[in-house]
Amino acid sequence: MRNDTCRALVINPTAAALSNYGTLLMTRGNNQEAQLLFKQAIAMDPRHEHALLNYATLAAQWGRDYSLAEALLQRAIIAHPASVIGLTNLGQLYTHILRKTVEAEALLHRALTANSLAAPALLSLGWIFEQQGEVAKARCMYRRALLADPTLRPPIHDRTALSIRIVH
Amino acid sequence: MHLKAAEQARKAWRLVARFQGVANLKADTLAACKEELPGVLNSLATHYLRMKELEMANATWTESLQADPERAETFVGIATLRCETRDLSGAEELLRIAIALDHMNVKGLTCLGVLREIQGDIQGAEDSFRRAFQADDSCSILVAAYAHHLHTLRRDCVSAEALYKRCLPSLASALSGAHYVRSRNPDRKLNHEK
Repeated sequence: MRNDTCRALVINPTAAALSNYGTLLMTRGNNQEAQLLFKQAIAMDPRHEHALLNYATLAAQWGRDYSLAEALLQRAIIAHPASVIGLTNLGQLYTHILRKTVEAEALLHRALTANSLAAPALLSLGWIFEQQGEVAKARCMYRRALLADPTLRPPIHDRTALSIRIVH
Repeated sequence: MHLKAAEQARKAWRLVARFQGVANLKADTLAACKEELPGVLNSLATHYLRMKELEMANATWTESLQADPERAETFVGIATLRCETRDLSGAEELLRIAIALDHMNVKGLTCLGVLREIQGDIQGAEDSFRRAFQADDSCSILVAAYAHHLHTLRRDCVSAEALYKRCLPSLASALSGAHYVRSRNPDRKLNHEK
């Protein structure tokens, strides 16, 4: 994701700074301030990927405003169709919260097309397969997820948790 | 610069270039056009990059380079494009050319710092940022990039926050307003604010 920082410097440095500062405040729990900064970043650059993704994470995790999170993630994906984190986060939102399994599966497959090692996407896809009773497929996905990122063990034990990610 | 204006300027320059041999253009008019053109093209190329029209961005920056082969800003722009296509060594070479052309090019030095972050060379990145600060420590692009570096790679949130506030001074009043709202409504949730 750091690759985008170079582009941001040339295209819209103020929006990038607003978004990055918002992310810093969000990780420290200053959510109200972070929300303001993301809004300003998006007002300045409506296609700003990090601002859209992190504002969505904030909306889902802090505000429990899932419809806003969904709308923001959809905007991020329209602007950046190969955004692995955008596709994965919306897939996870659909899988674990909104229970839109068909849409979730399609999004997670798209994320894996963009990056076959996207561990959170593999994990959520495994969860979907497990719910559908396709144990072998689920096991395969979990194994691939663990190979891609061994630190993913705790979410497997608590698969219902929404673990959509913050982007730095 | 507005996209339409930039495109009009480019068309105008093409006409000037086409007819300069037959039209009796004054030398200073031609020189003024030549001077403006690379800046116009750089703005246009940046717009194409924003819209992810990478081929158009590349063509426009190449055109800018033909108009002025020694403009550091153009090399920085093309380097950004190389970053976008994951050609990091190509990007680094272009940034080195930009900095060789203009030792005080803060944007070039800052992009080199970011590029080194991408490559995992934290020390090299900090060296580039330091050189950029020596060139111009008030450049908001540099301050913001270094704040991001401190936050994400050095985990120094306190210094990072101070730098963000420095490069985004207009935020101070907005943030104090947010704090006021929060302290009056501690239970206020995001979904009440739609």
